[in-house]
Amino acid sequence: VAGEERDPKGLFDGVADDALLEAVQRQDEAAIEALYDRYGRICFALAYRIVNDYGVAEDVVQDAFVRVWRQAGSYTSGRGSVKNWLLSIVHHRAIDVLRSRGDRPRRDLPLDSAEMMPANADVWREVSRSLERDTVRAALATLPDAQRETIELAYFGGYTYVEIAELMDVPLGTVKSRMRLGLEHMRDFLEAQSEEIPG
Amino acid sequence: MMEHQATEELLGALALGAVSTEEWRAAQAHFQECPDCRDEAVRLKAAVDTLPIATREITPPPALRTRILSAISSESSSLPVPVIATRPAPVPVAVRRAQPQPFWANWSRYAPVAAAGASVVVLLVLAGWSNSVRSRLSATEQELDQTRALLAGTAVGNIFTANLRSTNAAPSTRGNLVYMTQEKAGMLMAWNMPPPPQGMVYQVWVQANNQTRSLGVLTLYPDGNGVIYVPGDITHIKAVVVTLEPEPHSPTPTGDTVLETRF
Repeated sequence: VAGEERDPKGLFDGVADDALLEAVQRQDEAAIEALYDRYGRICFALAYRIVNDYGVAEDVVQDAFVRVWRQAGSYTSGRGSVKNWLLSIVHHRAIDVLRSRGDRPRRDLPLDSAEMMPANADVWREVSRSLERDTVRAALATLPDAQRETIELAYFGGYTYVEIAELMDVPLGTVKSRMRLGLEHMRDFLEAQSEEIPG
Repeated sequence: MMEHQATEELLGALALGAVSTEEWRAAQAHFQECPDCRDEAVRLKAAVDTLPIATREITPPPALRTRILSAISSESSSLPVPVIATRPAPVPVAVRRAQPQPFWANWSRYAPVAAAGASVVVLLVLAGWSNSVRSRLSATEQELDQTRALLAGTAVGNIFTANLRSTNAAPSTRGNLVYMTQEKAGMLMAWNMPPPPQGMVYQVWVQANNQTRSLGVLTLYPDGNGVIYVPGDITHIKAVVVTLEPEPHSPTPTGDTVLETRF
């Protein structure tokens, strides 16, 4: 792919994400380069999906990687995968930009919801690493329209449940319920796709 | 703190981050006391984490990669990198790029001497600069060991040290460079320096970008210990060298190298 050297020296081939991030913590520029080559595409796709503007998406991804460079030491493996951590930084930044465009107030939520993550990651982490796009899209497609739209408005649109209730003209409880039921259904569907997860 | 039922109803929104800051904080407080809610929030968050995978892949512009690496290089050249407390490298040292890095970026291998170097700095600061330098520099190995033990477990912070290797010209000498990155100042200390021949001095040099700059002449004391103040930003130096030069000093290194360290 043009512009993506894919770790030209190949020195990080096969290096686990955690070890790669440790190298980033030591300010190894080749490591952050390799991290970008691994996840730059999905980061850019997520940023673009949220801000819907190539130039702004570039800024978001650049901000995210510079933040990773500065704050790699704040990552701990017990809080989730490197990939999810990186994507949550991109998501957080993109939503910030999105909300600052309009008259919606900015939210001062923690960067990656890290407080909610368990000290010891469960097997779901391994499952989520191997998930394909089609599988996740299929999971979303199984949701009733109202649940899917609610989840997408929240995650990709950066709307709070209160704002979504106003947008969709439904009670707050309905939005909260759609969010929870939709996510539960997604998780159940994705777990069922994996042989590693019983049930 | 948010009540159990209210939190339970909000778990989906919490996992999506679709709540107010106040609700978020209240829920976090509740999670501390309610593992059921917390575990369910974690389960739902796992589903949220898959959502980026559903996005249509788009190849970013090639220029973005260049922009990001350029921005990071700029950060590298302006920010000190406290590597002493980090873990050993799991990847080959060879992966490090040729771009300029602070000289202490490769100093993790000198970690064992860092505590000793820091100890000397602390001693000097505590005792005052002018009058006690000589006595402190003549501290015995035992004193250094005691101080090292005293500081064991203490964060070294922004103090970086490197040992200087002796050469055949004076094999019994030893040296340490101690540099404080925030203050952008440091000093070089040397021990067991043989008396220089008549009309000669020990001169200290730093090398960077194929250029050699004199830091001045080492102040040598009768007990064979010496010191020189190292002022200013020496971020990107590649080497520190002590050579034997004719008095009063030399514009370029001409004599035998006595101590050296390269980064």
